[in-house]
Amino acid sequence: MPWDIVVKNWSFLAAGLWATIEIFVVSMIAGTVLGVLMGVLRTSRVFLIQITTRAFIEVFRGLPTLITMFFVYFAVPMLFQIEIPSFLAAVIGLTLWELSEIAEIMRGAIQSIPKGQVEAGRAMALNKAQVLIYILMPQAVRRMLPPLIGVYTRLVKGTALASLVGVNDLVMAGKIVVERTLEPLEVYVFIMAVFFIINYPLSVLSRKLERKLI
Amino acid sequence: METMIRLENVHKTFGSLQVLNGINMEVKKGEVVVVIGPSGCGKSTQLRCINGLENIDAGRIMVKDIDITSGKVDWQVVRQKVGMVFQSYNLYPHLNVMRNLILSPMKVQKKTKKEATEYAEILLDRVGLLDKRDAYPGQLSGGQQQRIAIVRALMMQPEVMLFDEVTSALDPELINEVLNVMIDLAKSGMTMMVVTHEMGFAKAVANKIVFMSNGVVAEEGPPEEFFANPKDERLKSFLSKVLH
Ligand SMILES: Nc1ncnc2c1ncn2[C@@H]1O[C@H](COP(=O)(O)OP(=O)(O)OP(=O)(O)O)[C@@H](O)[C@H]1O
Ligand SMILES: [Mg+2]
Repeated sequence: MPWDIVVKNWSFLAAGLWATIEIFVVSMIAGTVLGVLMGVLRTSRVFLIQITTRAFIEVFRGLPTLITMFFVYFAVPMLFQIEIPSFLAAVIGLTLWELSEIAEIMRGAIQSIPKGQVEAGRAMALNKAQVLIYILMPQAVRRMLPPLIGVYTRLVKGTALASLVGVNDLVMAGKIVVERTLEPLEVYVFIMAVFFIINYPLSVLSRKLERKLI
Repeated sequence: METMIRLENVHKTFGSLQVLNGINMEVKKGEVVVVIGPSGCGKSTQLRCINGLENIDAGRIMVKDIDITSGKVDWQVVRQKVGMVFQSYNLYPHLNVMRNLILSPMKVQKKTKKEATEYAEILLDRVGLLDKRDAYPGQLSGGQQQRIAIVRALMMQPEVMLFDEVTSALDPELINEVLNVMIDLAKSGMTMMVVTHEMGFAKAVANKIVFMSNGVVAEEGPPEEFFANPKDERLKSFLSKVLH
């Protein structure tokens, strides 16, 4: 078996890998920040905020990410007469899914904290924002860390969808190399190895945290 | 003597459940008022209304000269005057003892870390827990946690302290270490309103005992008279149960 194909096509595959990593990192950061915000809003006592955030979360958690991505890439440009580059479409599609997952985790984490914690904070004269920042969030973050890492590993897998809206990511680069060389075995083993190498440490970390936090 | 807390005809319902049904009560400066009554008669609710954890439906509550039921009250100001200790301690589990104590003084009263820490050390020493300053709540016994919770409330230098069955969750052998802190506090002149089943505590330090039943004050008086000569029928049967 010609195991040197990866080496020969390294710069091409590396460019694809780089694009995959970029998509992952950008979506991860955007989804985390927006998801935490959305999760906090989701616990609001204001009915209108509660219901809109809930609707948003239910929709984007339920949709296949690929459909969201296609909608952003193909349908939104027609609706608004704008152009959305494939990289951006991929990031938006993944972020919408991820932020909904994280918002739900955040909500669960906040609501799992005993009511007495909020009452103690209020009785100690803290205002609402201070209770959230100093009492609820630190405890919520601890609880949400393992499931959060679970979302990240699913996000890594989800990046493979980006090739379907035309991003030259690792999957696309691999496909092109296979078409050129007709050697799928080595190329796909390489791609599998890359995904494993990214995700394995995450799942180890998640398990470690789970043990430490329980 | 100056009035610290006054409840005037206070009503409170939860849905269709009438919990407080016209409470009238007064706590003067330096007084220790013990509130007793059967489970579900509204003792906790009454305390929670005094620092705004619950809103009342009708009546008036005064904390010193502030009408806290006026609708435009600054709770951060009121809650610095009124400390509260809960049955379940409610220490912040992610912060160590010292950080539990200095959080509000720093964030609300804008004390420096040094000032707050020094004051915390004085109070910790007073309750015999200075060596636990770096421990986390989960590493402490219930009695220790509750003493820390009392210190946490005292950190704000309140003028009144509310205690809601603070020894009820404790193993019997840990109850006295908490009661002793409360007795010291009472002797130091702190104004206290204490919901408890500890009749020994009531006899030792209470200036006044209030018996609540069905959301009203059914009987009140100084401890000697109250225990020796109860008049209300419900109080008589209640006392026969708790005094064995
Ligand atoms: N947030 C709430 N929502 C609905 N009902 C409540 C709420 N809080 C208290 N109640 C009800 O109000 C009544 C009085 O409760 P409260 O806790 O004040 O009683 P208590 O005198 O402190 O009793 P205990 O001795 O058991 O602590 C109870 O019937 C209780 O179930
Ligand atoms: Mg109670």
